Amino acid sequence: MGAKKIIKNIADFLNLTNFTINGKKRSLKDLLKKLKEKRVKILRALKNECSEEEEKALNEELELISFHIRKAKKKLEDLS
Amino acid sequence: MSKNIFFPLTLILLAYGFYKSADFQAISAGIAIFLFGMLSLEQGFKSFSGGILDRVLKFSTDKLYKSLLFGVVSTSIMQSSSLVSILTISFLGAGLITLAQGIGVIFGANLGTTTGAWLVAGYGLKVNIGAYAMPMLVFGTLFVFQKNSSLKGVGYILTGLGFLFLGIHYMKEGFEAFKSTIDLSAYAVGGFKGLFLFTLIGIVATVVMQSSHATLVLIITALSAGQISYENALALAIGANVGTTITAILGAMSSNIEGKRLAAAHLIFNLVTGLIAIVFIGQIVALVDWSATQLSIAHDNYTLKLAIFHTIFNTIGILVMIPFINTLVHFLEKTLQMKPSDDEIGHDNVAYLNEAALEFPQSAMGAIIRETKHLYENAFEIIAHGLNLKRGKIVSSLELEEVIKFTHSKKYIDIEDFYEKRIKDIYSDIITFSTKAQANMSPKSIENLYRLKLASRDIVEAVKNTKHLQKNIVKFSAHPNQYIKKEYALIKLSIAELLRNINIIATTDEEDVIILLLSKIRVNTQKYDIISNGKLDELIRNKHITNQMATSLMNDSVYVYNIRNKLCNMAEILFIEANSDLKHLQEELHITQEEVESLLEQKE
Repeated sequence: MGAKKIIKNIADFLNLTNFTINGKKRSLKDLLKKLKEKRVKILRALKNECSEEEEKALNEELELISFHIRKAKKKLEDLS
Repeated sequence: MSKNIFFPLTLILLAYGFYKSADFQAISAGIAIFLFGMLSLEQGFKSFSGGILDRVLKFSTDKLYKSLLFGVVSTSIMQSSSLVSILTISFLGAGLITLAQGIGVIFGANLGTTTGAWLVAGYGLKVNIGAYAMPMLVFGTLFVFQKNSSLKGVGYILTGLGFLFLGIHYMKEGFEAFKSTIDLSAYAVGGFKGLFLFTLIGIVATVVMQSSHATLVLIITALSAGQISYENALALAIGANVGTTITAILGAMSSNIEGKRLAAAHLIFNLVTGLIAIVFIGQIVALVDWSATQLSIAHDNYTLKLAIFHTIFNTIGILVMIPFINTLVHFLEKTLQMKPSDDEIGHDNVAYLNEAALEFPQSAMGAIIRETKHLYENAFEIIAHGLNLKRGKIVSSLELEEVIKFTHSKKYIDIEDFYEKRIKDIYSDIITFSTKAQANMSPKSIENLYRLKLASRDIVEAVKNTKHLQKNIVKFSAHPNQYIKKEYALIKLSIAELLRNINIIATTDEEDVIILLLSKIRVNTQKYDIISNGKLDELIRNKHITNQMATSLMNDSVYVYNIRNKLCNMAEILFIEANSDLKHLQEELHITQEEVESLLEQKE
């Protein structure tokens, strides 16, 4: 067995081959979780009574969060 | 003046010595070869400093015991406390480690030097060390000629070790031969008089050679040849320990105040250790004898006993000083302070860029990142005060509409003057320093450095745009026309919002907050651009503002757009790209201009 093959086998055994991708996936999943929690909070806040300005600001933030949730989900699909 | 006399005098004395004695020539050549070997060894280890060495230093100094251990291990491996001192000063100067961490490393390095004494006394004198030198020099030189920088580094280390061995060999031979002509031991001085005299000689010899290691090897070889007495050798070793601080002091000359504090700490530590060794010399010698018996070292093996002595008195120094590290840090911070600026605005200079930080690529990069952040802090002050906003209110949780009601002072500041005193010199120093630093950097680091230079340029341009904006802010903020007054209030609000968001990005660890805020800045930059959102047309069409006001507003909206864009780009580079965990998240989720436009279109 060549040296390269040995290194590859060890890397496969230790699950190191997709190390970077797995790291990215983990960070994206963590971020997605936080964004979803944030979205729930904003939706809850919108249900409560708030001023027109506050409602506008919350809606703007909700749009941005939804945009990033969509983007993060797509990136996760691409990485899988 | 003294340098002008000292150098030629040394040359003349050496020439006279060479003329009179061939053995003196051999000893001097041995010292010279040894010192050259140390230079080569340092060069070799430096070529690995782009990775292992500085990364280890950065992550293995968070606790005092780790700092001490790093100092001991790195000095033992590299056989150069000078290199460890320079590395520590470099990282401290760049603000990558604290003074207490640096002191820990220096204390450890002092103990690490004792391994050199053990190696020479236990091994170097017992074998024909010169025989090992030859193959090392040949193989080392072959490696030095390789293109690969790692192989080159290995080559320098091998030649360095080869020269060290060769130097020791010549010193040993020289002293052996010297014995037959002059017996230096006849000049031995006993008692406390001898102790002080030889301590002083040890200090002077180390200051001249700038290496306690070289002095120690010289002492051990002279001791093994019986040219100096054991008592005097102990005093010389104490002197060498005190004299070695000169390397740290010289290294700190080109460093900032932190580097100078570390050099002072090194001096204090070695002086205290030396003093303890002199005062308790009898007790320490007794402890050395006891330890030698325990280690089965012969009673008359003075070279190994010297190594034990060196280890014991450095260990005692560390044990005595450890409880006082925080007091020492406090004392040094109080006594050694930066000179305060004497003009009204306060001319600000670089805080992290110094020659010492240039020594290693990672410390240079760290220094540039910190200095760019320093530049941004100054820019934040100028932009906020330039628009007559209070910095404290911007970073508070107060509603932004309320923030813009508070004014910084009765009259607006002179941005040009502030720019000259707090931005221009720092910016120019960052660019000069970066150019010097990239000479030792890898292509990837050079690319990162280029991005940091762009961040600095963005900061400078944001300040310049604020200067242009200020004129009309002053003019229209108190204007009777309510429409134009409102637009300029919105401009102030927009900048205040930007500064607040960047401050949050700079201080939070929450990735979701950072990603969302950056996107928010990008979206709002586009949304509040009154040219693209049609607001300007509306004001003109309804004749709410004059044509002149419209022109001013149009020009100023460009300045605002630029400030927002520049500072957003800067924040991405400085606060996100410099953080490796956030970097790839931002790469994946970065909001593009098309996406900003599409988001705004959806809203409409």
